[in-house]
Amino acid sequence: MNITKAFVDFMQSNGFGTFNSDLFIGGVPQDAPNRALWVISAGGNSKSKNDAGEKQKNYLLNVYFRNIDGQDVYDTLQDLEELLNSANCFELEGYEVIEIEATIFPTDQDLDMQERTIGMLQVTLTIYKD
Amino acid sequence: MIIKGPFTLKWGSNTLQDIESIDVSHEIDSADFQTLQGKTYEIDGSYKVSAIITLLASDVAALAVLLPQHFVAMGEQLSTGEEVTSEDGAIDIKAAACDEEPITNNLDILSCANPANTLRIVDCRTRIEGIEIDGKVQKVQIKFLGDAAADEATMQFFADGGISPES
Repeated sequence: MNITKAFVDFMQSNGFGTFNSDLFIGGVPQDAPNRALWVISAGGNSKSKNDAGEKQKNYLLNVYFRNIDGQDVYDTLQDLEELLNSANCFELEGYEVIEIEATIFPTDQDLDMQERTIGMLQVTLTIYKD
Repeated sequence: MIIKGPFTLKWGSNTLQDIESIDVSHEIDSADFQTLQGKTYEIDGSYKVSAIITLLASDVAALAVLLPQHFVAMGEQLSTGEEVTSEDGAIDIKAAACDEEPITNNLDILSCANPANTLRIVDCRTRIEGIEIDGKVQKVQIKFLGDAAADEATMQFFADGGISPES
């Protein structure tokens, strides 16, 4: 499983949408509802490498959320940021997670062509890999 | 397996909150001895362990948990004669009397993974180590000093629930 899908599963299990219904990867399909979340891979970097070869790596994911109700966009993205930056102990299936952190807080991306507010939050996943 | 945070700190049955940082130190006294044949042996002596935590929340309630030996309850008198009128009590930092028994508990530092791993500093007493005021926040540093009996470990590592009976 790629890390974006693992994170989407994590979002779903925490109540942030349902995969392929209102929560997507890579973009939003044409027939998606007005209220939709999508996650886009945004790069990353190697953080450190052990002499034995294991690595710590940072993956960046951008989480977008759109809705006609702009306040819902602000509320939902703040809820996600507070969850990610809480003292919880998160795990992603198939990955050894060092840390999951919201590193760019909710940012208003303005309205789209259908007058829906779009917001964005960037997440940094620090993973330990053999 | 990587042991990772966020970490939960427990001193006895009290879970400690609002800890900005923790610094654990373990020292082993040792001495070198040289033989006439030119070899050097390092012989270990006694063990000493301590931990310093920096508390972001340093109100009386938070300090009362960590410094019970200095806690003065409402209605009782401070060492300077005033009566404590606050429900929270007060903290009266003064040197212990020579016949005063130190209050000791294990300090457990639990990691977040399931099962959590525990780093235990055995039988710690506490003392105030310093106060930092940076213009915005007052932080208090508390030092935990391992006070284990001579035949007991100073420090232990184990999985949560991995020893029985846990004290």
